[in-house]
Amino acid sequence: MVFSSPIFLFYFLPIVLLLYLLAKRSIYLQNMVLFFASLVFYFWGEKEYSILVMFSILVNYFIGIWIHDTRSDAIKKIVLGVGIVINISLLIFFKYYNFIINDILHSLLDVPTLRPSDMIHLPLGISFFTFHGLTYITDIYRKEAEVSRNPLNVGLYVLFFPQLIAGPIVRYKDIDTQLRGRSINSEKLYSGTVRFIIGLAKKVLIANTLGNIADQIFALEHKHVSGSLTWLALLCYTLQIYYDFSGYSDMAIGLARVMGFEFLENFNFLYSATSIKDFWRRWHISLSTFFRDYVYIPLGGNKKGVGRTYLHLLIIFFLTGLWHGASWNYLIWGLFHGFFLIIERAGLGKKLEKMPRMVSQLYTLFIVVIAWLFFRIEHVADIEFYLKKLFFIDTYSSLAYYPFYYLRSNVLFTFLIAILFVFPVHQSSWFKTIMHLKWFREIIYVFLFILSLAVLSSSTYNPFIYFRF
Amino acid sequence: MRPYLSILLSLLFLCGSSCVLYLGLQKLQPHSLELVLSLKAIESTNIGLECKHPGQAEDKVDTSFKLLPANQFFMPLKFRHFETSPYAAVNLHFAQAKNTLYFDQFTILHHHFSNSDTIYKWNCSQDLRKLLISTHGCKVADKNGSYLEFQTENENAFITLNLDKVLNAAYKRYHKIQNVSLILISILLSCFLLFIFSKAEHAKETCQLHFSWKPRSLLIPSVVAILGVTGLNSIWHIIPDLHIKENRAMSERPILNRNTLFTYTDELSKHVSEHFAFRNLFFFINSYFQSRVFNESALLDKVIMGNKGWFFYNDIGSINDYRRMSDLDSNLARYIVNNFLIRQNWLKERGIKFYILVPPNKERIYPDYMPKRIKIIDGLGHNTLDYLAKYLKELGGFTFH
Repeated sequence: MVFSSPIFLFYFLPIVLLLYLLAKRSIYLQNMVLFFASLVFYFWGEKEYSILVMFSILVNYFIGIWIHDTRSDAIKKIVLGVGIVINISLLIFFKYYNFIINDILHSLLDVPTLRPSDMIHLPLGISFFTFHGLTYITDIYRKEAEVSRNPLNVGLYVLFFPQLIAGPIVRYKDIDTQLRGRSINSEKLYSGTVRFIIGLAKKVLIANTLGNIADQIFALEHKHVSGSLTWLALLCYTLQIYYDFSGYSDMAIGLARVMGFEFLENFNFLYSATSIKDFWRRWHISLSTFFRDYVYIPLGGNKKGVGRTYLHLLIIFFLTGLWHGASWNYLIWGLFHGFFLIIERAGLGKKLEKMPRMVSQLYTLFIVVIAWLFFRIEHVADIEFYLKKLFFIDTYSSLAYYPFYYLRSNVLFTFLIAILFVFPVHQSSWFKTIMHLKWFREIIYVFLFILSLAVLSSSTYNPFIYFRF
Repeated sequence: MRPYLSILLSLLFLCGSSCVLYLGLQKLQPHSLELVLSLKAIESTNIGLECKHPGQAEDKVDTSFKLLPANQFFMPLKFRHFETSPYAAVNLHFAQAKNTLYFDQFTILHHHFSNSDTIYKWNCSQDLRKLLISTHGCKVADKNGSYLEFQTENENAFITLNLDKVLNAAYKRYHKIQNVSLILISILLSCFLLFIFSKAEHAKETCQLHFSWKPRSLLIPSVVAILGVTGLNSIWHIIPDLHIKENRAMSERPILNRNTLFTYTDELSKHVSEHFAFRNLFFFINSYFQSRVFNESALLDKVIMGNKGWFFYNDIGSINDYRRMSDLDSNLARYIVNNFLIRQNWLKERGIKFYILVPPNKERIYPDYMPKRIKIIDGLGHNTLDYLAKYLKELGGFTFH
């Protein structure tokens, strides 16, 4: 079940909110409602694979208690190790098994590739709930969070439906107290609803429209692809990935806030970043914080010499790439970012600081946009083709398709709006003046909500319309 | 809880989960078999699949029918079976007196949980005896090993398929263990919930609700009203929706039972997305907005808005044809002309004249109303009709009127 589906918006969400409100006298009942709702939410999409998430909850719950109750540090360490191995094994098996056999072992040892029926299904949100499990047991080991003897709280922490399938990765210590007591007031309700509407509009009105253009261009036969088209597709994808992912995070944060929870921000106007280092402080903040706190710093961070620091950075970005998907292109994407981060650390970063802000922003944007090509194109051979097109090394094209073939008036309008809101325009004086009037603001939000539902309903239309023409 | 007990419980759950994952996910749970027949009929007819079980009375035999439209190119007809008892016979009924049908291939898919595998496949290159036991009221002819031709003589015509062994072997293989996974999943889910709720502690804290009604804020009441009214009206249908005909069969409301447990959620999601209240109204709003503000259609992938309010079908084939980008090559053109000539000669022998009537695409007749961004491109390909016409004139000697 996704947030932008009729069954979620018109059935699941109203029922859950109603039950949640009815259970207002007891946080125990409210947690119970949310836990059940989250279980149904996951079962809806993953059916039999729901067992995995239950397994993850129980294992991490017991390991958490075990770590807490054991006095010996050595045993604590071993138990933590067992927990990490179980969580990581789950992730490796379900997410990387097909990649390991079909891509790595097949090319290295000529192991036969898997038949389609033997491929392992990738359960929804496995990267998120295993990371939740990992943060839980690690925080307890480090004594940064209190162990929970209440399995309902651990279950809700792992399963909580707003963040279950696309994050953000919430750390247990950040949500522990909220699981035990929280408050809902009019302001939270209002700002949560606004956040949800903005997220829905980002996803439905902007990301889907621009994503469709990127998909169409990347699906063209190579003879039709020109440099300008590749740039258009890549820019559309650059905007799509931001609006899609941040839209989903907005919806998650908004929904959680409506129910009294506060999640940390996951995005912060990433295309305003002035360096790759700055980009990673703005893009998927919860993931980069996770890797910083649970991998980079335990490896030694930047305290073990220059060489080791660079190695640690490469490891982190190798893992970051791998986390996003089991495919070579994600690895290349991660290492590409890692490479520029090392260059910045080696001296470029200081030079960038001295340069005008505009220059450093353009540099970052250029690197990030090129990197999205690696993220989007799965086949490595195609990456080379599109890179040649991007830099006009290969200029041949049939000219049958050109940017304005795709940039119809509505797409062009969406494209421009998307570019405008990539930057923090809400801080500008003209925007504040327009949005100062509350009634006007509310009309805009209601209009966006209705328009999002209208676009959503159009996506369910699939008429046989040829007879009309 | 003592450490060793927690290890024991974890291990127990780990073993249980592994068993379920191994048994369940490794195709041991037959939820249903799907029989897919690739058929073509000259006349539109109903095709029925009858599966008889041993000792079953004739009047209680269940036959499911599917409509096979006339002259569709080998349309796959799908029959889903949840029955798990052995079969005595499997018959395929052709419910029309005089008809010619062509049979291309036959596949049996096994659906387990949310996956499916092909467990049997027959096509015309294989021995006919492997597929057919007998025919009743129809004649069978093998057409060059590429398809079978059935000519039915009466409306009770049917063929008996040699499938009972295949189906029974599949069921035999799965029957003994068919419930294991489901039971294990149920046990595990129950244990999990029991454990969670037995150990769940009643927290001392309460959720503090501080609501103060702000009469000036219309946002939350509006959102609640939109979601609530739409949700409730989707159930009770009190307020009528706009009438917009979508011209396709919409999904039926799925029925939840043991066999549909793992497909029910997807089917219900599909049903809701096609039947939620005010769906047509929402679609109308989007359509109106897109056409008035942007002069574009709400169905971008299906409709091209032309000039002066003209609509065109957004089909890549016909648009490429209009843009002279069709990649029809000389070999295919020769093949088509040759086919026409064969037909022409066959009709000529019977004293019948052969005419070809080509219904043109809309954009061919009204190119002036096509949007300017869709330009005609020279040198990449050609227009199919013009190209074919050239071959029809040169090779076939056809005249054009």
